[in-house]
Amino acid sequence: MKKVFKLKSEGLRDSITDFSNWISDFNLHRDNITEFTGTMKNQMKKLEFDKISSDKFGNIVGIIKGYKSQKNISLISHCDIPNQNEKLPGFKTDMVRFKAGIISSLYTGALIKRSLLPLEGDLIVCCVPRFESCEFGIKYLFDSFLRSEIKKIKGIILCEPTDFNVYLGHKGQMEYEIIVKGDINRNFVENKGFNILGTMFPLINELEKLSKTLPTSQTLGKANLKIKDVNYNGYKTAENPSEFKIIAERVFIPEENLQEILNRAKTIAKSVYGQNSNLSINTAVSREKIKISPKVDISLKKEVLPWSMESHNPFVLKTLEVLNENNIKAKTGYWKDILTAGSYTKGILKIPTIGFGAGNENVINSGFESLKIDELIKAICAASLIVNRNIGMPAFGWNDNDI
Amino acid sequence: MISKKNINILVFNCGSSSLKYKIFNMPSQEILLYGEAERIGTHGQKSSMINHYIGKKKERIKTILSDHNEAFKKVMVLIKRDGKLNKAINFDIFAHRYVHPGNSFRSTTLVTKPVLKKLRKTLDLAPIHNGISYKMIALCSEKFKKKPQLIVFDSTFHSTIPQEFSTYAIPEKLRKKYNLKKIGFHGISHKYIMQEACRFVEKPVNTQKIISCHLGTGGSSVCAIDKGKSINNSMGFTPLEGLMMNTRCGDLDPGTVFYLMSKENLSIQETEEILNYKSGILGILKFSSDLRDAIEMINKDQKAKMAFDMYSQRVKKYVFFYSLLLQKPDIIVFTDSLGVLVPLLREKICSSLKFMDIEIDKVKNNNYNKGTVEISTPSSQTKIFILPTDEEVMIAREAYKEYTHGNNN
Repeated sequence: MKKVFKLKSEGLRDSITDFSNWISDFNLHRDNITEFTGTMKNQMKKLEFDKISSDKFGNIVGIIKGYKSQKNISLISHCDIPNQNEKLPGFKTDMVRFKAGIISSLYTGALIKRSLLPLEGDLIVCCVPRFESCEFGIKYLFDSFLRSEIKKIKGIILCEPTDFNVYLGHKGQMEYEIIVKGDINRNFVENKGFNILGTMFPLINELEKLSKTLPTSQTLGKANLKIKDVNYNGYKTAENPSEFKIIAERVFIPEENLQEILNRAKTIAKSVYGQNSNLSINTAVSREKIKISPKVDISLKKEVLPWSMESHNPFVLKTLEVLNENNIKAKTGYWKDILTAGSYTKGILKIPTIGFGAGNENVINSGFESLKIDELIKAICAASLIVNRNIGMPAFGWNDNDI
Repeated sequence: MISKKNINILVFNCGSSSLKYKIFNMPSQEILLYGEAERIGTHGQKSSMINHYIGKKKERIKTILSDHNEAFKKVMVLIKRDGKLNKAINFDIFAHRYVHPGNSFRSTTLVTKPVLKKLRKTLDLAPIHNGISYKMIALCSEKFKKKPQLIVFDSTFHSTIPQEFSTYAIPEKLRKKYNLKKIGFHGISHKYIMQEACRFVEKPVNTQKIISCHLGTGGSSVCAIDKGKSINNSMGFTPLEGLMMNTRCGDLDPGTVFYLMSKENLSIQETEEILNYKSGILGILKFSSDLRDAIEMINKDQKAKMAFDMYSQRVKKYVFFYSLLLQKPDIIVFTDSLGVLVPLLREKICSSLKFMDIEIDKVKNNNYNKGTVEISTPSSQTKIFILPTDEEVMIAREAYKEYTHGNNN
């Protein structure tokens, strides 16, 4: 199999390079998603995907049909927030910037198709182009477009940077607000330092203390808390009482409960300001507004759930097995910084999910993402081997020579 | 079915990166054109190309062949072009080789929608080879809806192997559940050898007992043919059983597999890779999987001598066994690249068969040039032949027979 994939991937090299150049230069923003979607669909057509479609949200799905109606594998990729105008030191023409996951997933489908090695189930290649709220894109994809497929999916491969290792999850992340409202500024004496900072500080101090006592997950590492922002409205009217907000960014582990995190923050705030009965204290997950079309805005909670995949799951074991057999010394690991669609696919939908791809998450997160085409091709071959091992037809006793 | 008539058959024989084609006029068997699209979907120092031949005229066309679809289209363009220049060049039907249909098909078959559907279910029997052939058959059906297509199966010839030889001694429940039995391969080649050898000796096939040794640089098998029927083949459920081959181990005690897996902590796939891709001549010789490299070094290198001796002894083992099954063969044939081009191999295999009245003429053996040649001594009671195989013409014959008579096999 490896020989077939290696040979055929070389046949795709020019196409991969051309498409990588196009995608690297494409400055994706919400107004040109339709153009991006159209080009992706055309590329899938050129690469002879069996079925191609897109949804209202701009998600693109291409299918390589299997020969039996058995379980499917899905490859999911998305767009990162790019800063394409930035010149990278050492960037060469044989490198690709940004969206390596998209190229990798697209050409894994093409390589499977060109190998002519039959699959028992379908390979579903999904691309989520909206970088503002990828989680929503994924949710939309599965809740509407792929709703009927969910039970048939054997496993999902997230085409994210893992340095050719197999990643099995990451911590969750949320942004929450502690809102203190009421007669805040009654005793302020500005020239003596009795001001809003003095009022906020005890709570900030308590949150700092809390951050040092947060739990640790054996696999995912330590939870943490950072104060992201503070906000004070300064008003004081009956209709519009004074209010300050402390906005915290909280990284959490699966053992923690989202509601309990909010309750704990509220309890701490109450312990600080509880003696003042004129104050109301509330906590809530922050929300952001996303424009999905010129007329439609949606409001989303800023929360991404933690997830982790069982390392003994057959999907993981088969993946590690095939990578190691083919001299890709893959280990299991977890993303430290980036967040992925696994929060929804594994966390909510409970579909076995892994991450695999070229590149290092630290480099990609730094905004200096670049990847050699050779590395990309290696990832494409490896992903094809993973797909083949999981839903391909075993060819025991047969090899690619004439019999 | 139509009555016997003069038709042209376009035969396709696909590999994972190649597409061989030949147009035969039938029943004359005249080759109108032939060629091969090479390095399909690959890219390296050597670019993909089509070698196209009409008579003695050869064209070497360097072109991009991104996949079999594109190769097929470009080959069809060449055929159409040649057809405009010479009206004799055209084709009436397609014929394809299909390696392993399992129990689904037992004879050459005309493609229909239900046949395609049934064929689809056989892909997992030989995913690499069946997948490619299926793709080409589906492509021809799509692009040439009105042209009949026939599929010739490589294993059909072996469907007559008696149960006592085809049955594996494993629990019946598992045997039946997975249809595990000796299938046998190279059937198209062995059938061609049978027909041509009988033609050569001018005897009907139903009178001759033949041992056909198809010894290739890739795969090798030996077949016992009794009065027109295959009664045994050295390959089994897959091509891994039987002779030692270029990278395949051939016959092996299954116990060694489990021992190896346990000692080396190997997965099923790793073990398969060892037995299928890293064993055989390559496993012994290390630097090459081609027996001809071993022969070149046979006097200087112990491993080369070992590889050659092992290979030839294993062929001999099957020749002995099949001689017993046939109760003395009338004909032994050597074919395919090693069988035709390596006199030392034939000599070694036939040495010490004299007690069975099988004797090779060393001079004739060493002076072989081309075509079908007898290389046995006048006193040998079994005739020994060198006979180059031609699977494509056999595919055309089978397709022609089915298309014009509809009563193949």
